Amino acid sequence: MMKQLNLWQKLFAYTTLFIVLAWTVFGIHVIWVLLTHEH
Amino acid sequence: MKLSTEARDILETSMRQNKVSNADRAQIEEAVAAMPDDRVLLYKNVVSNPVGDLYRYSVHIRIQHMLTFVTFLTLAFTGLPIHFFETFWSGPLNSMLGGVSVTRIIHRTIAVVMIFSMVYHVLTISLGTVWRIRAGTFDIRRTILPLWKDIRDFKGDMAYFAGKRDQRPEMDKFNYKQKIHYFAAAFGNLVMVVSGTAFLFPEFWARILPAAIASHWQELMRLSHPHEALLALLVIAFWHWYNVHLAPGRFPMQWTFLTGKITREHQIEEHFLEYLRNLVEVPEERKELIDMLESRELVPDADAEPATT
Repeated sequence: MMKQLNLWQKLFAYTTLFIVLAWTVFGIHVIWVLLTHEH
Repeated sequence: MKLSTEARDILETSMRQNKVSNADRAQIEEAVAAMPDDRVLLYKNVVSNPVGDLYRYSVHIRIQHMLTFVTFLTLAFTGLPIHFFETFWSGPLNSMLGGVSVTRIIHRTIAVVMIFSMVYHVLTISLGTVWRIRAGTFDIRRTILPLWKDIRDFKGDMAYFAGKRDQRPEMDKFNYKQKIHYFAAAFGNLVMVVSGTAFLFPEFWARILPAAIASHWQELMRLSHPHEALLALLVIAFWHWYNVHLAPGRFPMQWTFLTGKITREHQIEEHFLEYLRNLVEVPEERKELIDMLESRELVPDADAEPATT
């Protein structure tokens, strides 16, 4: 059983998660562009 | 809990290495006996602080993770627009940094920091090992080195995920997955450094290699650098971040890289053998565990018939 995170910890954890997911989406976009881009 | 031969051996080794007193030994055995055989029941019921309960990584390892984390992302962010210079998205990225010539300077500077963190890491693990051997507390099973057990653990874990067994294997401080990931990262770093030198010092490679293979080598290195980078980026985005952010039990994030501590729940689930060492090394943990199990009425009845599963 996990104790609850306090407000700052939640803020920190979800911000980190957001950055990670945003970077992943950007990465997928870049790879997509690389694969479909015509030279 | 009746310990397996393997777990018993880990516990005995740890008690011998830590020179525990008879009183401590009795307390450790009491804590072990108090654990139910079902480890799922155990880790689902212990109370955990999400930012961590049990010591796992020294401050050096945490600094090295931070250095790798920052340099890796910066290198990817600057390296991609250098390599894919002609694409439409690299234009804005390069101009944001001051033009591609500036991007290249940033990329090379950060690369030096990354190499520093590699050297720092090699020093930490080798000096740490020497220190442990001299202190008589070294146990190869507690290191990141791959052992036959990892293959057994892999099979056991796959069987668990396929629903063919009801417990995950008893894994050590570093499990098979972490070992693969670690050596993949170590290999990747090495490839990036060596191939990076082909961009920076082509004359050096031309001088030391026979003329027949020098140009092939150059071409090989210039191909590996961006491809290894993309591979690493995919591994980080889909494997590492899944494991530390999104996996059930870890969401929204695992705090070990900051606090150096792992949660009790996670330790028992994925690193049960290391948890046994925690019972030896952290006296408060024994009491904490027994109290927790007693309050939840999970302590097995010593007179009862052994449970069959």
